[in-house]
Amino acid sequence: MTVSDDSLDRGDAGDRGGSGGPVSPEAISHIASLARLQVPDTEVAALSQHFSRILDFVDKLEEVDVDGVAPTLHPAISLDQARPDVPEPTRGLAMNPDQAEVGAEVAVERVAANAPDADGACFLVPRVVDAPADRSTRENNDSASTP
Amino acid sequence: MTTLGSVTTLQRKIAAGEIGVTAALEPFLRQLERIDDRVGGLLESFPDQAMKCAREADQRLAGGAPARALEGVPFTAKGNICTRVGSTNAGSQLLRGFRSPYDATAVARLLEAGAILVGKTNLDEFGMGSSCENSSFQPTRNPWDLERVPGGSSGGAAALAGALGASFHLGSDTGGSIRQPAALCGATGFKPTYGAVSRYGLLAFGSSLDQIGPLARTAEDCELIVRVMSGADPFDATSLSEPLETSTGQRRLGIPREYFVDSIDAEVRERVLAGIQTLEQLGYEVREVSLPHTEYANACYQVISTAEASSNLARYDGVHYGVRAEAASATADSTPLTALYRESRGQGFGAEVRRRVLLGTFVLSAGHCEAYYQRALRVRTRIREDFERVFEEVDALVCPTSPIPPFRLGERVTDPLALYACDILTVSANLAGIPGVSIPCGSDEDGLPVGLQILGPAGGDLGVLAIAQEFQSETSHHELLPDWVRGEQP
Repeated sequence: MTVSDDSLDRGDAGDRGGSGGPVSPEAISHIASLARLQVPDTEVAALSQHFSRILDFVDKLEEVDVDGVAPTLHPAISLDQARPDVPEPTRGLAMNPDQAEVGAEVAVERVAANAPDADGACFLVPRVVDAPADRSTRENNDSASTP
Repeated sequence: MTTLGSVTTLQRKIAAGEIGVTAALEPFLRQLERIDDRVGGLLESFPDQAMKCAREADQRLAGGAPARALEGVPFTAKGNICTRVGSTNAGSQLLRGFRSPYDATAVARLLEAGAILVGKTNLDEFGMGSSCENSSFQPTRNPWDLERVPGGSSGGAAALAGALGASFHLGSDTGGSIRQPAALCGATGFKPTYGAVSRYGLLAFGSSLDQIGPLARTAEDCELIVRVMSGADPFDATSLSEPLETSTGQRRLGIPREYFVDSIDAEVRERVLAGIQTLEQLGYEVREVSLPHTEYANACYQVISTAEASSNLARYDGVHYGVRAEAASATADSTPLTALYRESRGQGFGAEVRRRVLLGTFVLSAGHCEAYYQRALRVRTRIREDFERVFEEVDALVCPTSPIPPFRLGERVTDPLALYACDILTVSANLAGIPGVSIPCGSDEDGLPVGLQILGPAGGDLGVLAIAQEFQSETSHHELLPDWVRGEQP
């Protein structure tokens, strides 16, 4: 998907710049599409309001002097879990002692059992690969919509 | 006053042969059911399975096997912690009926130590909330006032821990989700150092913030439980390999002035200050300290936690788990597959989860990532540095857990920002990865519990719990039970 940054601006003015201002309903719909999340039309206005409020609240962070400060991505004291570089059979579901004999096939079955639609070890989804004729149509459409 | 049995006492009695596992479990399960009928903390319970485990434990013991660290102790797991028994739905319609193929490492270690899983507890959907009202399945009520919330997101665990002895309840804490409900329900709730307990099998919300911990009656019980659960786990690369350090000679306590601002309820402040006096009488040296970036913690948390959530929750797509939207239809700008993602997620996630996923997507999106997410990560460093500096001066910090007593159901649910304000005193510990415990320190005029929070440096888990234990050895707030519960103790 082609994402135009312009459509993410909070307001019509475009420049965030810490000045607050509303987040447009169009921006909400665009974010929803990025998040693969359907938002009912009736909720867009309320979300737009919520976003404006919370971003005004979050703008407080601009008061902090963070020049030259390194980001903290993670608080872990040490990440020293590397094991010796020796091949080890995957244990998968066998972490529980009484499951030690569970074979890979059973494990896959148990995982697939949670899927809304599965066939043995395969997850079933709607068709994602177009027939050749359709594909050329789509590619044309895509290129038409991309500057 | 009724003195409740603790986990420690129950285990000792079972180990000494004073009571059998089955004999102890049976009345407990009856009491659990009676209490849960009123508070609604359980999403599911497993009485038959639990009794079967108890009979097996009795047989083992009769055969001469030594009693294990948590032999015969009943416990529940929050609905976002994987257990092979029952379902793990995270309080979400989207995961309705999900059955984990494995146990979380924390759960597996508890079971191996002889603890008995009796149920799964209610929560705000995926851990997102501070009142348990965001559960897709049911509200949970505060045992001290059934018209009030138990706090959240580990609200089911807290409601049970606030009303039941001789058991414990596993929760998870991303921004205060163990400590805040523990405070609101009069329980003891402990969030360990980030990485002290493996997160394997905990449904991820904010991966750099999440931590599993216990809610129980006493800090002594919390220590016993954490000792069993903690330690390196090959299934979680962020689990710490260092064993928990034994604490020694921690006598210097800091009172962070930023945790006593005007927005703190007057009675909460008063009870916490009285608790600090108790600690002074116990010989602790108390001094005021400053954590100057505290006022930015909640904004920082909103950005980082939603960013991580938007990424973590991308896995709920209507394909691999849970519920798929029926008849998702392609539109001009989507294929049948993206339509399936959108509609399954849109229908499966509740309003608060949708809000947070969208906000997280926004703060990570091109054009905004630098202004919001990258900046928040740098502010996070400032917050962490505040703690590091202060812990050179003092061994632990003492402050309120929740700025307010439990509020009424429905009172804050319509205003997300009012609800986020419940976390202002707890989120910093998650951002810095440090341990914190909430212990009861009295009640307000309405008889509602007030929690006192003790925070320590990373790795100082046992030090924090030692201070809490000393406080509890001198006070009886943690032994109090609501009247209606007390009348029904077997």
